[in-house]
Amino acid sequence: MRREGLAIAALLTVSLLGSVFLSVWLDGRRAQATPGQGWLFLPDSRHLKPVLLGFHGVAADLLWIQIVQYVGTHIETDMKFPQLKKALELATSLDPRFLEPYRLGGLFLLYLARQPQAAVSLLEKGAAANPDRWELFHDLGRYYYLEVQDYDRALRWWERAARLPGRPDYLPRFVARLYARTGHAETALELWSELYRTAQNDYLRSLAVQEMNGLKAGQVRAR
Amino acid sequence: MRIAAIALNTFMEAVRDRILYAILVFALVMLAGSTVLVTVSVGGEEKIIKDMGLACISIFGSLIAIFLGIGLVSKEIEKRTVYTVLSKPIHRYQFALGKYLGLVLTLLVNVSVMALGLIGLSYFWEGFASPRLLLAVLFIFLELMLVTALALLFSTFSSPTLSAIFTLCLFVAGHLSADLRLFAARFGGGLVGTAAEGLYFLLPNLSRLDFKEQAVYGAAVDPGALALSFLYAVFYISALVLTAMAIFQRRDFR
Amino acid sequence: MNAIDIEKLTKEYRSGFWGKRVRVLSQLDLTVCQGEIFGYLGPNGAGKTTTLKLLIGLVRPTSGEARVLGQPLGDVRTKQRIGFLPEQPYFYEYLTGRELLNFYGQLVGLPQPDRKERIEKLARQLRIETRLDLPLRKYSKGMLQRLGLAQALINDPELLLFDEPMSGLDPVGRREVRDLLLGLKEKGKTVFFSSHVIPDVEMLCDRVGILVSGRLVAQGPLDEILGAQVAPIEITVSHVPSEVSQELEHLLLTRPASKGERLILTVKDEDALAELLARLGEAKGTVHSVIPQRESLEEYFLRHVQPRESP
Repeated sequence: MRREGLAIAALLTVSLLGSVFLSVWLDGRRAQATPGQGWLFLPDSRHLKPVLLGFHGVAADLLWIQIVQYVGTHIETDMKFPQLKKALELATSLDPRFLEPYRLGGLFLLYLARQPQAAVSLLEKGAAANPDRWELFHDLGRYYYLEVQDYDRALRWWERAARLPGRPDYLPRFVARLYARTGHAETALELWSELYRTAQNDYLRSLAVQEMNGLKAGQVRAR
Repeated sequence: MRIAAIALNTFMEAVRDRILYAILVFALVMLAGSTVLVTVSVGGEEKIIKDMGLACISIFGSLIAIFLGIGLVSKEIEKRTVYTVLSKPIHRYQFALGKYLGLVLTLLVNVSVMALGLIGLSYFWEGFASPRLLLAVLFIFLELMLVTALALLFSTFSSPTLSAIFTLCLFVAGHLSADLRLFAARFGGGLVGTAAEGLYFLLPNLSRLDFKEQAVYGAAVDPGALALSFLYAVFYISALVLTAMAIFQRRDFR
Repeated sequence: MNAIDIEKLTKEYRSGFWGKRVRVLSQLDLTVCQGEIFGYLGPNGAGKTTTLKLLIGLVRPTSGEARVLGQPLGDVRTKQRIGFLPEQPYFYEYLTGRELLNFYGQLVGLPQPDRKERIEKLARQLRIETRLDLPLRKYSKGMLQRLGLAQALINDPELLLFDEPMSGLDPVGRREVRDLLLGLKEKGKTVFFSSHVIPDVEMLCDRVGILVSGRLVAQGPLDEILGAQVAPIEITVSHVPSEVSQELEHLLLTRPASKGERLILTVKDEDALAELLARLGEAKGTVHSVIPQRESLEEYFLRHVQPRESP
């Protein structure tokens, strides 16, 4: 009886220790692998969505969390993000109204992966899917203004953003300035007087006056 | 009333089944777990918590509905507890209906507990809980009532295992029914197209009961669509329960 | 009015998907009088349980008619006056005995104070009062059987339908159930029970029905069934010259057995007896005793069942 008990105890100890040891060893090897390996086999959203039986929102969330991990890990290692575009495509297709993947994903693509074209199409996709949200139009305007200095395009995007509810206060001002910048002084003036009328505080009013004066001076000079 | 007696009896029996508690505890753990999961995300935290919360209620609620649902009639017949009950002066349909109501009551308690958990989480993260969240939960509950009615129906004539499989299949089909419609449209008016279209109307369209997006994004809810979806669920559930009652009325208990 | 009237009752089942028809009960004609204990005997698979299920409405007949307490089969209100105990009953595992009986009490429409009283009384009568508040999954087989009897009696019914009421009980338990059934008869109730335990049936029943492979092969009082049989007769004799006994061998059923100086002979029937006695008288032998061997129910049963049963 006792001999059997000892034998079992010995075997048990060996198997437990063995599994712990192997676990540590495997983890050591896995550290070289990074999140995102499995994304090579990500299916198309058209096929994936039905399978999720109405839980595509949660799937998009989980995918987004993985994307965040992926980016974080690769920032620390090789600064290469080959799967990022594909993963963001899928996440945004699964839940087109989830803004973070478009916005932050766009930033990742632009500044980390250095894929501006991909960033722009992503943001455009987001804007098309969310015509009632200012954020994506705003981000597109920002890209064209800051990165490419394409003021016409920036203006167009920001104008659309400015009309949407909840937009930040500085947008109408940007729009007015850009009108002036692109040679539409009259429109700019109109916009500034509108801003003056609806301004909630003195700072804005004085700013409006300043801009209008500057524009009028410019007009006089142009003539 | 005899239906009430059976309903309460079913509830008491179901509520003491340990599997129920296991599932409920697991659901609450997952709910709490979502708060941990969210810490590794950047942005979208409120959305993720609500998404996961509603998904938990839906999935675990469905598990409870199916597991207890098949036990409703199938297990009773298998274990012959039906014999003594039906030997008493009650009508067969009263038994079927009472069983269904008893299980709906059990579900109500479970879903309420999970919903309270979710509302608590919502308060914790955002400081308030949107009424749309409750709306989504209400419709999830309707969906669960439908799944239970399916389980009841299959239980009246097939074994516990088959009932579970059928119910699960119809649950999946119900979520895919919108795609079935598209599939039918592709075939135009041919035989396959018409058959597919007919199948679409016969199957429960569970995506109609899905108000998760509205809850998560605070989107507007069309009151008309809401009322119609609610009525659709009520009618479909009634059809299922009545069919179950009819089958139960006529069958032999070998 | 008879408690049960069955006329040409037939039940067929469809076996499996291919729809092969299996006849479980064939043209059953049976009556059970009020106030009697009727024993329904038969080997396993004879159709006894099916008969009981037909009577209580769990199963519908394929053809034929029956009336229970004057009402057609399956009538819901009649069930108010019936108590039914299935074979090896199962109950809801997680309820206590008390909750279960309370549930059944509600189903038969017993109002609250009466219900509580009735439950206590039945529990005492069936010796389960100490376990009444335990969950049913902790009950032994014997206790479950007794609980089953309790639920059958909850509405103080006129007619009791029991399927193998003694199953799962030890000898003490079986004695108690026998006493219970006799007690019910004294109160004027009718009991119809199925069994394949012959001694119980012999002890309790006024009338008996024997079912083999779906057909009723005998029905009536026990004496009639067994008495109607031609039974062998045992004669104890002595002083019989050996030539005479050899001569008489053709009349005997079995070889003579000797008991000291006496010889025990067994003849087939009364005709053979007459002839034997005549010859013995001529040979001046002494006849000590003449005892008709009435066949026991068991022997009758075995004799009838063996050849008829299909393998």
